[in-house]
Amino acid sequence: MAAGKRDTEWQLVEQCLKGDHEAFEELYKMLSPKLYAVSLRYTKNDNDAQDVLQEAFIRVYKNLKQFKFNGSFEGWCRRIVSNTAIESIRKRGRIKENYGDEMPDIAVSAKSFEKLKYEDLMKLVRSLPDGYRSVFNMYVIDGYSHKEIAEMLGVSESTSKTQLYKARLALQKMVNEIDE
Amino acid sequence: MSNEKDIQGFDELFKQGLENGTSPVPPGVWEGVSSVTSGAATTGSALSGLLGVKGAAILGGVALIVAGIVYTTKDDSKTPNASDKNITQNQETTTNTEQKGQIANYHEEQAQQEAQPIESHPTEVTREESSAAGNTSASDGMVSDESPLNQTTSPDSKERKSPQTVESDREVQTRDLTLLPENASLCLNEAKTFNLGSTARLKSVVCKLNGKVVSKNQYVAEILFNEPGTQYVVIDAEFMDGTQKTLKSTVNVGKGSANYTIENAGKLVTATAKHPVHNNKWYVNNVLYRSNVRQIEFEAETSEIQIAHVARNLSGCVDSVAESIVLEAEEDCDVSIRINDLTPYLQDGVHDEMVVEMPEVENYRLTVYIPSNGNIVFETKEQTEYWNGRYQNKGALVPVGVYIYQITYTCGGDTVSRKDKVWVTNAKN
Repeated sequence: MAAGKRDTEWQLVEQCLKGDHEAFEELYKMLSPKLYAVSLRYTKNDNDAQDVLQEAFIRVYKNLKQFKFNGSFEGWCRRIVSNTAIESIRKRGRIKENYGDEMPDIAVSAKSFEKLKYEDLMKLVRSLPDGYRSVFNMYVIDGYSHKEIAEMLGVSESTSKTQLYKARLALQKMVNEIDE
Repeated sequence: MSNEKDIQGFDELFKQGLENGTSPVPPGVWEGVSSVTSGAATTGSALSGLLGVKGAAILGGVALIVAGIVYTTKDDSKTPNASDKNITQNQETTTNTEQKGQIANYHEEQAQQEAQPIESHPTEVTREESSAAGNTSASDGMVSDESPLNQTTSPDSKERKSPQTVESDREVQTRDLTLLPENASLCLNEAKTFNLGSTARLKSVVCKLNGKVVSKNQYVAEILFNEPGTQYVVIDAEFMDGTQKTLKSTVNVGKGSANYTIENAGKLVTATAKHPVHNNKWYVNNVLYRSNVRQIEFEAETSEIQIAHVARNLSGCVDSVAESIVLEAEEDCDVSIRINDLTPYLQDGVHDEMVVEMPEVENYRLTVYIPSNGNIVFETKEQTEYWNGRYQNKGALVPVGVYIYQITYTCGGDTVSRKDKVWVTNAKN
């Protein structure tokens, strides 16, 4: 991350810590589109994504003093968003319901795998059942290890690996169907 | 996608495509965040005296259940502890005046626990102002600094206001107070966040679900709905000037039903959903068997099977039932007479006995008699004893001719009787 951007973020955080709410609004404007994309990836519908984003930003604000100023503030916020989403899914008892979710038909405009756009990829990932989607996001996009995923989701590491495998299969199947 | 390279390429496509993606945030999210944070004390400074690390820990934990608790409850705030020593550099920038003000607020709050008024930004409240207002608390502030009513905390200033001004304030309070969502549809055991999108100056807020208090003095509360049917969320709010307002929200809680009945005739199993479903899936021994049918029929390979039924109703509410079922063995009481022609005269070891093949039953009785006069030539209650063509299996061979055998027994609680002819010949079959 460019030092300039990081400095701006850190400066705004410091202002927030001094009680400047406008600085927090500035951070919100700066980061919310990216963090909303994270929230969308983890959730099935837009309402859930907005709830997660809202709760995550409240947590960010409430826990600002925990930020150590030794890394990316955006990265710190991303973790909060993904953790909030995971907790939301876990709270609703959806992680282990492997067969509890439908695999809806989706319409993706791209004609080939390589031409899939951001919106198409997002649709594909969001169409996955909760368990698959959570593990795929955490492992592939956000870089968690299977051990970390297992702890966070309350499942075994082998379950995490299995769900990742099935998530890839499901995604591949959907991509193939698009190509046909 | 079988090799590692393919998998990496596949993953990389999604990672690159999604990792740095952005999506426009719909309006309303910031309002929800702001309603919680705008009046809240600045985390690093204003909360330090009262919440410190403990407050942060509580917030972290409570956030799982109640999203965005704004108001610091009495339990959160009234017990400053050793963890308060862990004040960060930022926290140390708090002025002594501010800290004293918060402590003063803390003590005053203890004295006014019943009232639990919702206070404005603590950093802006001096001890004198707080005392004058007579309703201070050590909250982290639920009320927006932008609220016009925040400027009217002093009784003196209220007294100076004209009746029209007070009435105007009430109108503002009333207009600002909304409970969102007003109506909602959920599935059983889902939670919903209710947002009191207010910038009005409130003294207390009580949130009730079906008359039962679920939260107090919170602008945002998440409520778990674990009863089906119409549920009522009611907010009773009291403003600083004594006016009150009640807001209501109706929540329709739907419930999916995956219950089903099982019938089996031997290993032929029929499972039928008790209620109509919008779409569903049947799993037999953890393998998907059929989708979107109310009834399935299959032949079980073992006497114990696992059936799972996942059903989604018209409202989209999903329910699932999974259980192991031990199939009841079907009572097979059919009689099979392996041989009904006897050739006992030949003494060749073939067709020498009338063998009755059937499962073990209760109250078995076999009678063989002469059809013309009904005289009994053989009778037994032992299922393993077969007639060999002699009188009671011991005497002389009966004459060649047609005889009648009758078998009676009970099966499944019913008495069954079967009767047929048996030929005794001396010819080779």
